[in-house]
Amino acid sequence: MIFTGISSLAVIGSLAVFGGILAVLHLLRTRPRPVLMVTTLFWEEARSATRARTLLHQFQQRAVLLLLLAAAALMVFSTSQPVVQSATQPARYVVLVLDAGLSMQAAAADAGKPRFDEARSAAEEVIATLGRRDRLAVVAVDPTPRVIHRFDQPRAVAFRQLRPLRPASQPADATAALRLADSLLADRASDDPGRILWVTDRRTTDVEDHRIAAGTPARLIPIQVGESLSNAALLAVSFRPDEAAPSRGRLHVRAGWWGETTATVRMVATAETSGAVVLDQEVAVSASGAVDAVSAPIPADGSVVEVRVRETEGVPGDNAVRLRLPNRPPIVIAADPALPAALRLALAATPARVVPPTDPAGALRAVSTVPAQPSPDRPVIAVNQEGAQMEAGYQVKGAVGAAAVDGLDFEGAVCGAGPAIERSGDASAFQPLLTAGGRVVAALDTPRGQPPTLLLSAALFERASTVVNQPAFALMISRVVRRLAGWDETPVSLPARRAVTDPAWSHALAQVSPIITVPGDRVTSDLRAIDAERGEPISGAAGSAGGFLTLYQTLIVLALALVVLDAYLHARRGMV
Amino acid sequence: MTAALFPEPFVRGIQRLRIVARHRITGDHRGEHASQRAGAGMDFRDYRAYSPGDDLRRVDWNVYRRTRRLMLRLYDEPQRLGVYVLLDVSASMDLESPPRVHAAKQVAAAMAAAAAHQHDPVLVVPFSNELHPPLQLRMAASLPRLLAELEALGTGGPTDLGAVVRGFARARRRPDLLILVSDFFDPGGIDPVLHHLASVRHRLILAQLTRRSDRAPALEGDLRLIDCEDGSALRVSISPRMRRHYDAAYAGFCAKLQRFAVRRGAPLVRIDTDVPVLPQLDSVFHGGVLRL
Repeated sequence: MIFTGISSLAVIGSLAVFGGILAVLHLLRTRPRPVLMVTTLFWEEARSATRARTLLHQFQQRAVLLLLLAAAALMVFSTSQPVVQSATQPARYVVLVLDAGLSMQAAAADAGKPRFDEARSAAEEVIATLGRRDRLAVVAVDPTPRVIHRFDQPRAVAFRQLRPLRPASQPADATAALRLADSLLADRASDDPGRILWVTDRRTTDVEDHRIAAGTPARLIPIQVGESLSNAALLAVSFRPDEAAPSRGRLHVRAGWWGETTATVRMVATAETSGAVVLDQEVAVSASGAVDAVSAPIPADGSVVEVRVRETEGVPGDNAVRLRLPNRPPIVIAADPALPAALRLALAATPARVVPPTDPAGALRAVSTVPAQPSPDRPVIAVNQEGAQMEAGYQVKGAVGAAAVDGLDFEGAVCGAGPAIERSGDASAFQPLLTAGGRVVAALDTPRGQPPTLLLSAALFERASTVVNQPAFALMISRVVRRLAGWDETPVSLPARRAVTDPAWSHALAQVSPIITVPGDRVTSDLRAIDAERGEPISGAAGSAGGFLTLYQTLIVLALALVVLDAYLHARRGMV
Repeated sequence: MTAALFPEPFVRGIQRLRIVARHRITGDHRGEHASQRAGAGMDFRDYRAYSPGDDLRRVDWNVYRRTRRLMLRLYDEPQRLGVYVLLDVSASMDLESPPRVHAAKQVAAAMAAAAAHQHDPVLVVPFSNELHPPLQLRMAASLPRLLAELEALGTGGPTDLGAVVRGFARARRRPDLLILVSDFFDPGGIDPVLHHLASVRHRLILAQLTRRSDRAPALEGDLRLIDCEDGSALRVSISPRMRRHYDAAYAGFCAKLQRFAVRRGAPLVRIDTDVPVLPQLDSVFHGGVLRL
């Protein structure tokens, strides 16, 4: 017998612990109550007369303890999942190949879980039913084949190796996997050709083709999981802004095809408001493969775009995703001619367009001094000229907790002489960005009812200042400008379940909320089984062991029966 | 304190009790019991031939006139009966609630009072595994003092009834009256006790102290029975079958005691310590008199 659930040491330890506890409890239960007597004379005579029954009773007490220990042992064994096989049966070499390719991400229509979970369960069941003398190796194909369990490793290790596996984003290379399995079988010294158990969602004919291609002589037993599918569906949709012009970007769409032959997948993206088609591509895709399509540049204006896989000849597909683009309107900055040159240069490096101070509507204002009466609807970037004077030479540092300087390196930057920035209003609206010598030299002030203002000390632009030469300074200015312009740059999160218009999707919550995908995030659609033809799965060693109860269930039933018997004997003891 | 153990109604009750010997008793002192020896009493008993040296005043001259033979008139001479009350004060007598020793003391007091009213000397001898210093009652008027001493008498020590009886028999050669007040639960069993009692020349009265828990113990399950005197433990699992054997053992014990009492002609009074003692003494004191 081998233990496939827990190690042999754990079995022995559990038996020792539970056995000890049961023995102590049994002794406590059977400990007699002391009674002080005038005389024990007559009880001595009575006990002598019933001596034989007393011995039987003592035997029954010991038998009760043995029953409890046997019940505990059975419970431990049922947890350890023992496997018993006749010692006369010859050893078999088995290689378990587990398909963890792209197609295994498909979810079952009624369960909502990836079919890979079903494949893993089938693999575990196969391992559990192997005989004590059988030798097992496991190959995971995710998407390239790799050995995760060797013939010489304990069986329990295989279970632990299976648990962290996840399906890959590429189709599984079945031919290479079968070749690897064959090489594992060829390396052993045995007349038995061995067996390859292939847990996959591929059809039988496809399996046979791969076996022929791999040239393996071993007996191949496919274990098919999941329903046969042959439609196309979206896998991922994301919006990636252009590096040079972040207010624009492109849609990246990935679609998968679960058919058995090469086909063409058509991906279409349409702006909901205007109806403009921003993407319409047909791309050839291999069986169980995935393809990508990229749209033309589109503005990041916060509009909703619908991305859909449309049906083409021989490729069913009506899968769709609604995507809300980030909102990043163009930024215009009206710059005061008296602005320091370094500031003007930093503004030019932002996504904004710097224009003369002709006061265009909606533009930011960059002024050389803090305006006495700021406009209520126009953010301001101002150089502060007034305040307590600082000396030059102080090290400039980013303020702790300020997002605009998060991750920026101001190492070696010093500030010139000039006025420090002092808070004048609500402390909660005043956020320091840069400090020098303990004084604030850059801050973002957002008082209630007034436009936000970026305050920059004139000391930053003095001759002795080196901070404006740092790339971090330009990045800080760019971040603040984007924030002042109201750009939507916070990361968007995708719910665990993606909203689709596919009627097979059953999650009502996902139906009502707009979904935005994060670039690179994998989304798996719920593929409908359209193909009515399914091959009969060739069952191998997997599946139930037959009979009414499994071995583990039988052990548990026996253990419970022994506990009931113990309780009965304990209750009946007074009737003997 | 005396009133708690010997209330006034009880004292009045025992003062009317008498112990009367029906058969001739050989005693050394003048008392109120019939003696086996002819003496200078008031009751004519018999004639016997005159022997030189006899008192001439006892010659029946009317018989001489008729028969020309000198005959002496014999009269019954009242004798004093020495009464010994052996009172069990071993540790087991004080275990239960109420302790058996209370009833034992009441029985001893009753027997002592009955003997004292016949002007018989009474010695109440407490014992456990040996005889303890006795309590003496010389006259009925001294009864209150005896009751006080009985009240104050403590308990303790293991039981060795056989050794006590054997020792008493060796020390008391004159056959007087021995009243044994005990539960008769000797660790060696009843047989050795009865064997030693059989060798006692005294007249016997046996007062067996019992209670319901002896006859029908309210015990069940797995128990460790501990003897209160020697601390020995006995592990039992009380089942109906074992209970039947217990009943048989206890019944056999009582039967042996009964048979012995019948053979010896000794009154056996069973005192249930759970109920008042005085009414139970009526089973032997018929009309207040215990006739031996």
